[in-house]
Amino acid sequence: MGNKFWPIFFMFWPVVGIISCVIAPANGWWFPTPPLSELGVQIDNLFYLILVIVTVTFVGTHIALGYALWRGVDNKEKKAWFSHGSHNLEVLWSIAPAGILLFISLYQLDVWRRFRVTSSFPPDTQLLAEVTARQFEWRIRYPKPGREFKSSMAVKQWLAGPQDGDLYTVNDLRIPVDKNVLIYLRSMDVQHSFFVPAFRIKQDAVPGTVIPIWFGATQRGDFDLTCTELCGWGHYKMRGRVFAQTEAEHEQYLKTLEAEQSFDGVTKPGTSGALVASWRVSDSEEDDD
Amino acid sequence: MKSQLWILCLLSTVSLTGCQSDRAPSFVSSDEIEQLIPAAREVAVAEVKANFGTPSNLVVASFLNVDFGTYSGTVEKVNLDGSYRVRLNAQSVLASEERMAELKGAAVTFAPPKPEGGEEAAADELPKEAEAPSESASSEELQSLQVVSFVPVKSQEDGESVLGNLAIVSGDGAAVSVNEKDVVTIIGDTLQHGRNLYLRHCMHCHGVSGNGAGPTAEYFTIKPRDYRLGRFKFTSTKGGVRASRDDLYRIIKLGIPGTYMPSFMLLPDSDSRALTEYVRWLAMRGEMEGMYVTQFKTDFGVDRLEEEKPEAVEKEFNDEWAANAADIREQMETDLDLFWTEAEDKNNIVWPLKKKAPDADPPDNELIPSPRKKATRESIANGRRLFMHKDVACFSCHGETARGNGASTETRNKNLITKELNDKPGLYDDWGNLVKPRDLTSGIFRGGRRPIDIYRRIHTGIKGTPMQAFGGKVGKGDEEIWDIVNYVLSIPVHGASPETDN
Repeated sequence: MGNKFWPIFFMFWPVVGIISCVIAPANGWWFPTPPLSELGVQIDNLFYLILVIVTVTFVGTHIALGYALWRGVDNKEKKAWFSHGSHNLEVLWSIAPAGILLFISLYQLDVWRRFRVTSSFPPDTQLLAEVTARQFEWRIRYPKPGREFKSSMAVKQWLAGPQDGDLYTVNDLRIPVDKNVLIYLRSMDVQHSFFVPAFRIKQDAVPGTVIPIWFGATQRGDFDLTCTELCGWGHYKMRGRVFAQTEAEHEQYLKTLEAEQSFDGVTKPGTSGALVASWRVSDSEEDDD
Repeated sequence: MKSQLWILCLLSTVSLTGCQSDRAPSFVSSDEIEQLIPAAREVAVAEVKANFGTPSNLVVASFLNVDFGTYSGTVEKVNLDGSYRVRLNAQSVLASEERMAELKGAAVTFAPPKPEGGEEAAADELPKEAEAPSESASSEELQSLQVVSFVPVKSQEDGESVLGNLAIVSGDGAAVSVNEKDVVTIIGDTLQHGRNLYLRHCMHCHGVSGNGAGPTAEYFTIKPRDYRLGRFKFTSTKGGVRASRDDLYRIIKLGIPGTYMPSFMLLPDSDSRALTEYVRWLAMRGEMEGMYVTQFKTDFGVDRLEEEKPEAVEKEFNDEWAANAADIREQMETDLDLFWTEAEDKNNIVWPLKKKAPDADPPDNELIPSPRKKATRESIANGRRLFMHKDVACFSCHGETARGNGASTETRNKNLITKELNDKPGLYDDWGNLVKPRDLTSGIFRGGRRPIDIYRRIHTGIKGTPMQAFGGKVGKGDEEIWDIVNYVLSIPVHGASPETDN
């Protein structure tokens, strides 16, 4: 039995690994949230596909390894067979992984196209905001509420600089739920990365470029927005949120933001959305001084 | 071989213990204090420490205008060991274990229950002395009663855990007679909470003492604010008045775009308020230090030691301090209280006002609110006219094209404090930093982009900087400031020259 210690030892750990993977989802050791966007589901499916391929390979190779060890310890007479230099085997394990990689790269093209290729964005995608990453915050600019962009020229012009009626905020991106929205991502200083784990959306913000990203939330709620590119000493401070609201709430939010932003010290701002009101100072209470 | 072993041992020891043993934050004195003779320096340091303490042991002098917040509840049960079980009111429930730990040891007061609605009123009716914070040693009575612990209890209704709605308060029943249903007020720890948040979020730039010299500050071209002058750039208050709580709160919430001050939008409201309170307090601390330097500098500066015997100067100082200490202290207490109390006075906030009837005969001098003018072509053109007018002369700093490259950025200007000509060309602020006039074409407005923000920047200026107050100096009256506001807000969109732009 002593001879069998090492084969058992080496097989024990892969088995533990596989068991922990199997019980992981039930124990919450998996993705932080289920994917809350349609694209997120597809991206998760790609992860699962890769997981299946890797699992099959892992289990197969470890069974082979375990078998070789198990047989090998008792084998005192036969000489080992060296496969090194076998042309056929070399060809086999070059072609097989290459085939798998080719399969993955072709299989994911559709999701990639949907996520990245502008002409393949869902036709109902609405321009929502321009998000500018900077050390260490997300500056957000919404176009004037109700403004419709009729041509790509109009969008280009809007992206070129501030326009009348634009609304500004920071770290708090609001989106209407169940709608596909488009944001333009840019960076003011160094490279940052826009990551909303709940939507499985991750995109680098590269200085000098304007990168369109679309996504849609299938559920109302408050989702973390983090920077996933080490962008400087304050990288950890760069936390924002994406807040998916109903369409009515979203409109109300923009109205409140507009009222807040056009406050001139005399005219009272419009009705307050609770979240905007939380940082409005007592200015509004003063109108007859 | 042996030396390698030694290195290995050393490395593992260092990795376990670290190189620095003492990491406790401490307040440092300003460089200006070096201008005083050693005896005066000692007095200044001791006085500041007596009134403000150290970061780990805050002292708050009772004369300071600092709000500690309160938590209220009612006595549920008098325990056998003489302690009290207190149920906190719904709005006072503590949100996290961290807050419970921070509030441990907080001072507590009791009052008999009011017949109706008494619980809410209790906080307001607190005697003035009771507002001292837990860590100050100002009241012996308060120290005997303090929060021992909080008990997280599951609320019955929804089964969700509610943290910290039960507090155990120490006390011997003999000293204070406490009955069930008595109204309890726990003196809040806003300042301590603010300190903890400050050390986490702000200290690395603004420094433990609020001197704007934290470890990350050296990487910045735009320096973090040094609070110690008690001066903040972007305020809603009138000229010469300190920043109000709301001004500081707004900056913390929204950040200052175009600088390294990020937005703390997602911090809970109570946290931002606590930070505001702590920043004000740090500013007061710095100001007191500065006041002592100013007080002693003329008579007891180090330059005296060059000609006179140190012992003689020291004796003279000690005599004078012994004679005048009470007066000096009282003066500073009055000043500091006044400065920060008047910043909260609603009458010291700048609102756009105009005369009721400017053309009436006799003129009607009553002031009425002056709303923003519509941003018409005429208004913007008038704004541009005033921008280029010799009496207003925005262009001299901001440049004719509003790019922040006016002639003053290239010439030698007068120092704002000493009124003497600077050695180097360019514009400098009260902290001695080179400042660039805003490039108005960029669309970035540091002090806020609301019309009222721009109005206040023009009306009151940016405190501590060469951006001066133009209230009362513009054309036919402050109403015309709105034309400049309209023009400034139109520059990023329509350019700096409205008449030629199309």
